[in-house]
Amino acid sequence: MSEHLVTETSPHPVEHQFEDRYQQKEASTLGMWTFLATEVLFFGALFVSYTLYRHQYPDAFRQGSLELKWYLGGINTAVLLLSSFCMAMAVHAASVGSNSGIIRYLILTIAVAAIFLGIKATEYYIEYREQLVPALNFSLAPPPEQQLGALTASFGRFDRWLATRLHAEPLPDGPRSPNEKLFMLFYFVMTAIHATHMIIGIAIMLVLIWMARRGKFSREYHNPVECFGLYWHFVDIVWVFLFPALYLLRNP
Amino acid sequence: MAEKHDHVVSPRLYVSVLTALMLLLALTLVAAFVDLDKLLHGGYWNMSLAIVIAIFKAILIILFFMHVKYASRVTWAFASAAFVWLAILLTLTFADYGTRPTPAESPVPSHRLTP
Repeated sequence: MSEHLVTETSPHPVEHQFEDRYQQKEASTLGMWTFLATEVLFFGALFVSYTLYRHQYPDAFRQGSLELKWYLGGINTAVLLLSSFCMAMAVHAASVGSNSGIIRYLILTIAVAAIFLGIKATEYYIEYREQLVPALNFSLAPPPEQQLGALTASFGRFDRWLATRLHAEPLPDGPRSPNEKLFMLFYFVMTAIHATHMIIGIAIMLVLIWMARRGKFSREYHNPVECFGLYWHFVDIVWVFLFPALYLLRNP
Repeated sequence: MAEKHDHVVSPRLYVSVLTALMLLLALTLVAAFVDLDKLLHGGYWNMSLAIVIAIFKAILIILFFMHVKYASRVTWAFASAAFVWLAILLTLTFADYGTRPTPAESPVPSHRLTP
């Protein structure tokens, strides 16, 4: 039984309830997918309610979407896909037994995730200055340009310039539709929950880096890295659906 | 039964998947700025296309980045279960709302959410 020889020499003996390391690995994978199923339903419920209200107030949702910086959301989508790729490479490093590779790629994943969160925070700041945050400062009348501050105002000018270049519909002038507040509520709740998942992910990656530094992983045993990879890719998938749903409602 | 071998996915495949995902992202953006509903005379073409592209991206991520393509059949079952439950959630909710009076006919005033 060659695999038993392998497990005996590896630094991580198989827990006694498992037949061998393959069964142990499969058990952790199945456990992770069970957790992810609860996550699918958690985000699924948000998407269902989003869809129902979007169906009920299509114009308000489209106007709300026009308030968002779609190009920042697009850059962030690319950034997040890249971080998923870095994560896949970290798992690859783990599967060939390289602790230094795990550390390198996890640091890269964290760096790329930090770029995502930085762009997201900039967007939140702009939306705050534009008085779009429900329960905090949402206002039916958009604030005049001189009250926006330099950064927000220049993004507003860039928006209008880009819309003319792309022959796309610009953000209409005048007061906002009352139900736009509902769209903004969905936007903030869904993106904030997504960002929370990323922050938790970064904390877990720091723990994994610490474990890898102590040489905890080997070619035979790297289940924590593999399972965390599943979580990180799942968070990426959520954004893949969030991006078109929130940022790209361009057409009536 | 767990498979008794380690499947190591080559980094080149990951690069290909990342490239495909980026191309699909570009397609998402192009599709959003073309008014397909007007072009094809009505319908929900823009929304449908956006959803289809997103599903394609998700399938690529699940199969390759999440290794489900190389996983055991039990793992397939567990991974599918998540989406079966999601399908039940979607079907039952939309079956309910889809068979109710449309908002215009609804007795609930449409501005009940006014701040």
